Amino acid sequence: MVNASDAQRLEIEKKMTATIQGILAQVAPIASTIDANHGAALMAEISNANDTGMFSAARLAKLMVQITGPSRGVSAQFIAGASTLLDRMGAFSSQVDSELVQTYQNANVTGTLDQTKLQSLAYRQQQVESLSAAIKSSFDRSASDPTQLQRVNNALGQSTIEGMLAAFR
Amino acid sequence: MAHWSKGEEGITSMCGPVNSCGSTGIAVQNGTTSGGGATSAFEASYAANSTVPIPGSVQGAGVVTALQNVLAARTQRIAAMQQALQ
Repeated sequence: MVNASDAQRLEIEKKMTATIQGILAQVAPIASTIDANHGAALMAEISNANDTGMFSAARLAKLMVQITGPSRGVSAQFIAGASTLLDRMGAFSSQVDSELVQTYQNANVTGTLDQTKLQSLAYRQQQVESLSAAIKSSFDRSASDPTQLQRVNNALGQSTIEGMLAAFR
Repeated sequence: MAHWSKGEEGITSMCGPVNSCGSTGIAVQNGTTSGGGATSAFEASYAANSTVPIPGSVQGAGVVTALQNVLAARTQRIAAMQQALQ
């Protein structure tokens, strides 16, 4: 079990709280549009984050796209496509997390931390963050830019995260 | 069980600006003690303020109320944690 230092844990608590403040700022103006399903899903994400000490960025982003998209004039097609992409991104991120844990478990056994593997995982994590930023940017522009839906559809046709990223360029 | 002293910093540093790690829960384990010794003041402050009310079923304006309640509880928890660290 990993024990972050007390100071690190406090910082994580602060970041989580800031994230929740950000969620509140986004949903408060459109609260009346939030149905029971999305309300429950949002509470489940917050409960999970409260238990684990972190949010799933992909799941949270997907929820926010679905909750805030309609009131921002984002099409249902874009919301559906972006949601699928965020599901894929979440799976990719979970795989990176899993391999990161395995890398440190191996280090505990062998006494040697595989730096090459760590660098590879850091690169892949960066790809996840780049894709997250690309989807977010596309979402922000989608209501006024019809080409964004085509980008999402192109990304959906890709089998690799590199391909998905390229679809947004 | 071996302590992952090497892992902590690396794992935490991978988490990005908004806790962007996935759902494996590796960055921090709430309410655990470090080093196997007596519970620290920090741990005690965390445990004493660990109950954050999160309703399972909300919609509409209820979502805002729920988030405000969560934030109030978390703010209280953070204050206690900060106090324990001083």
